[in-house]
Amino acid sequence: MSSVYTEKQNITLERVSLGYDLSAFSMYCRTQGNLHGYAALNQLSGFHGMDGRGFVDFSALFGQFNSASANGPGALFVFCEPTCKGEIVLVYDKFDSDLCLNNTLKNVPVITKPYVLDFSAHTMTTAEGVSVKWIKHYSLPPNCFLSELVETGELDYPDGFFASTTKSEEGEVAVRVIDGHYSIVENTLSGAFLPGTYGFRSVTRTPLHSDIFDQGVCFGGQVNPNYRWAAPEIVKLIKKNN
Amino acid sequence: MNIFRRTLLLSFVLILVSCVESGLKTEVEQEDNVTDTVITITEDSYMADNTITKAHGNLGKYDSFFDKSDFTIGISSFRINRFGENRAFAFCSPNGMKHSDSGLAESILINGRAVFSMGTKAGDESVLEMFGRNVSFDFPGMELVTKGPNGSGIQLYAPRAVEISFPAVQSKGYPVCFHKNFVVRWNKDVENENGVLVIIKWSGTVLFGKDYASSVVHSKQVPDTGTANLEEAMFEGIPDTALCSLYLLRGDIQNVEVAQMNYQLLAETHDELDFVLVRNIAKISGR
Repeated sequence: MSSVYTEKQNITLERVSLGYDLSAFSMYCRTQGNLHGYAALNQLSGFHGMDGRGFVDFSALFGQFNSASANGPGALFVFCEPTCKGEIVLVYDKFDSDLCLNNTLKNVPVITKPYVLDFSAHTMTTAEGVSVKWIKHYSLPPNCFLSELVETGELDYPDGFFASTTKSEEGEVAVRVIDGHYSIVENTLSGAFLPGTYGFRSVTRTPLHSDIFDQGVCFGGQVNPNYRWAAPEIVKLIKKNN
Repeated sequence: MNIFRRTLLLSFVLILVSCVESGLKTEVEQEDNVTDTVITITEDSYMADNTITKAHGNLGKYDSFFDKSDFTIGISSFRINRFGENRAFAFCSPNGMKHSDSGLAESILINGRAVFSMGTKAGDESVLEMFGRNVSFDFPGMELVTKGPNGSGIQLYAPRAVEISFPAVQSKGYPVCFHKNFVVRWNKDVENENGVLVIIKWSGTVLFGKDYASSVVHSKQVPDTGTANLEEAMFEGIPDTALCSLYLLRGDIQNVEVAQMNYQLLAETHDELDFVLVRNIAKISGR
């Protein structure tokens, strides 16, 4: 496809059916006791009318959003030659009456050669980072009439979404220097912090004071009065942006 | 009976002092500047809950504890607490047995005494005196498939009541024990040929950090020499500052068939020590 298009057209898609299946996600949330999952489902249901399994149309995908939003739904149509030397990109990331109400793609080039259409779309993204996305790759003959899109969507949520429900990105934790690197102490409860790299601030305090640890340590068959339990260091983790 | 055996071997009704943490206190913090060093946290950084029940090596005759039987009958001795005297009692399980129509338990004789008879005075010293010598179990009027010497009843050796002497409870409460070079000492019994069963148990309680929903039990048979050095593997799955229990158990056991029923006969003594396991120690500066 050349880089200059002399002729444009509007394409009305008679049918845009985007399938989804949230039932499995719902069930998994239930088994995991994931309250964030329920919140995400409620938001998706509220904005897009999605519930259980079914199909949504563009109108349902964009209907609730009348302005650009970072977390709003989006759609992307990329028309290009198979070589992808030139391409026309149509991006719909906010309310567009033609697109939403009439399923019309505006200013699409008249295509006289075989071409490729890469279509992708996604619902709103909830506060928990959950959305449903659709991705479809079409290899179309020239002058074909693209009349419908039917695709099954996949649920998209951040890595560790289920494990992250009780985790935070800051807070105090006990650490030790092991092999020259700081590590959280082994019995830190899982789920305390999101996986990642943290800076930290030392917290100057005695992590624990108990008479029990004021006594010598037993090893080698005797109480060694010169040895004590080595308390870990307490630090406050600060999430680094990476 | 299974419940009873577990009680003897694994649990012994571990009563943890729930107010341990109430004696722990933190001091007011002061914050310094952020360091340039980083901490990388992955899922592997966390210790998972553990459910470990592991026998280290052959448990010898103590393996028989886990055999199924219809009834368990025996004598047991232990200390009520670390500073208490030994107590001993005779037991039969299930408990309802003594009230059964057959009156089976009441007819059983231990050292010639009907210890389960309603007429036997509970809590006397006679059972304690059975330890450190052979104990006979007789079943008058019943067919005994497995017989003892000279066609008599069954004889078991009831070892001397075992007492842990090290680690020892100190003035601060629980002893603090390093996970390496862990030495245990007790009063040996040279007549005991079955060795001593050492059990390390952790139920998820830690003195530093939040408790875990873990259950770890390691067991090992050692010769009854009065001392043993436990390898690190006996503390696998147990974290720093874990409140653990050490059990020493020794005794004799025999499974017999009486009147077409399976009986497990037992003479055991055990002692328990709660301690704090530590994995990080430091020498006090200036010493």
